[in-house]
Amino acid sequence: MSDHATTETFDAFFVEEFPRLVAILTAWSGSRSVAEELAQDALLQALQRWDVVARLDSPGAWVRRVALNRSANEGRRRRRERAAVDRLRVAAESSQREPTSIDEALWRRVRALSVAQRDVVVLRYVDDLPLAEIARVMGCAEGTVKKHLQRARAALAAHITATSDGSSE
Amino acid sequence: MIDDEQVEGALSRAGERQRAAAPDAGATQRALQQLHARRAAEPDNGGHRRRVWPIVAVVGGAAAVALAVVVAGNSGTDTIRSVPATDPVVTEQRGELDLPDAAPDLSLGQPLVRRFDGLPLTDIAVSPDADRIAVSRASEVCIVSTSPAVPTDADRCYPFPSGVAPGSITWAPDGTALVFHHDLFGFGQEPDLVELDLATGELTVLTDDGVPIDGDGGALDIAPTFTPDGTLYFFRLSDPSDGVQAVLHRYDGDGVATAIGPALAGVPPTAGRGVSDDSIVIMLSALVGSSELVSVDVDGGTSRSIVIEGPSPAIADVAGDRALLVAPSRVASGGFELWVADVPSGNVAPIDIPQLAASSMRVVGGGLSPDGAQVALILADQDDPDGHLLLVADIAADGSVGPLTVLATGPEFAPNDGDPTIKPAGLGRLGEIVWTDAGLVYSLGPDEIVTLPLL
Repeated sequence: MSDHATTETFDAFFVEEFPRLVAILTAWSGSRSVAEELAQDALLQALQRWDVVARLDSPGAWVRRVALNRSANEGRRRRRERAAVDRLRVAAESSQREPTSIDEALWRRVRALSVAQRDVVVLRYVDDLPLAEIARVMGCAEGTVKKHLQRARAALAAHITATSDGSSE
Repeated sequence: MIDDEQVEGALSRAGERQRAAAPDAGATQRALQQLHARRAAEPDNGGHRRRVWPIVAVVGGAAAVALAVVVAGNSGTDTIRSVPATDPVVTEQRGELDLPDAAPDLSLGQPLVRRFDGLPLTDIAVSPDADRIAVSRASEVCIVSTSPAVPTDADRCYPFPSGVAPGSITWAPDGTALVFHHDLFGFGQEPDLVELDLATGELTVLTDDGVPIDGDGGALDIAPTFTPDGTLYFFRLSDPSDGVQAVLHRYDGDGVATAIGPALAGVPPTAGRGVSDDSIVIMLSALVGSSELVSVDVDGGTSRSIVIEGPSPAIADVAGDRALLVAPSRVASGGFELWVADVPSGNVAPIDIPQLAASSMRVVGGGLSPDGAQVALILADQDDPDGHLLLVADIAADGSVGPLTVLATGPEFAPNDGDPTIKPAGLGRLGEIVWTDAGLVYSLGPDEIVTLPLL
């Protein structure tokens, strides 16, 4: 593959995946800035190894796994958050619409789940992936994904209460 | 508290709003431009970060700087050391690992890679204090340090006259001796247990019965294992003409051994060298259509058996109450299949490795953490010299293996430095990973070992 063709195929991959990664990583980490940085890091890694990644059956699953692994590294995440906070002092937050406060309360509960449960929740409900694709990202069986989702919902149900407008908090 | 359906609805609505808040086309394009700018600012090394490691090469006893490879951001401050002419270690390299996806609870130090010229390595064992590694091959056993601070001229080798490689090297708990099974004189006798005193170099045959391997009443003494209290156990395989019987024995000193537990049938058995608390695990294979993993209590009490239908696995490692089992893959792509056997529950769970389906990856090494709660695997991509992965997964209480996390990548995890044109013998067997509290020691190819400290 020529360099030009490589760049074209990667750019298309980036345009497809970057927004989705930012969405799931924002829910996962609680910070849009951190999410954008993690998504870009994961996609940069994909670009560095694009000759291999592009040949995988699902480059998207690969980059999600890399991104979630990176998110799970608490030490790195804290460093990034600190850096992001520093940047926020001099730059305004993205103009994109932020989730509502009810959503934020829910995601805060999600972030209190185990790493595996958090992974499956954001992949299922934010990335809207089918169970088979989540299993591919997680490197486990579909049954294991179902188990994580059931346990995650049960844990959330114990901590959130219904509100009058039909949403939950 | 709300019910499951309401939670599902709340998550679905919140997820939908999260997707709607994702970066729009303009923001995505700006991010893409930033990424290309970051990429352009990196050194152009074919897409991989490079670091430069000083490497010492000794050929025929003459030290020379052979090669400088890999590494950016390293000033090359490692010391180049000389190696005596008699030293079997021919090259050494040190450097940093590329750690793009480090798992949350493990971090790795600098690897120490050591190569051995000549005959292929057959076994490795880490000392109880994790400071030394014993490696064996047909001609000798060598003791090398796991610390880069210890000069290689402190290595010591013990030559053997027979030219037959020792098997199942085991350290005495006090670190002063090794015990292994070995046909010391190479006269066609059956393996006996031999003790090597590391201070004097003296070899002592512990269980010599003087009977040839095909003679009546011959006994093959294999798989020596010390329990933490310093007692030596081994399995004696007897009467090959009437189906091998494996019996756990305790070595009582002065050539005397006592049989413990029942005779276990199976031909030929392979044994793990690990001890699970107060029991020893052995694999009895080659039974028609099934294999049997047996755990025998060292007090002569009960034994537990797990029958495994279908494949004929061997034990790759034993730790805690678990055994890592390996067998050649039953699919055309080759490689290995792996399982974790949880002895108390009897569960045998396959390890699902999605990377194998997505590439030309092959499992080339595997091992369990000291407590048996995690498993480490090394995958090598035969089409990509740098496409190697160190994966780690938690093992649940029931023995099931969780998702594999990429702990590190890089050519350090490749047999023969990842040169895809070389097909080392190591690719035909599962490489060993010895996981201690101090780090990982592994041997994937026939000519090198790597020490990877855990920080």
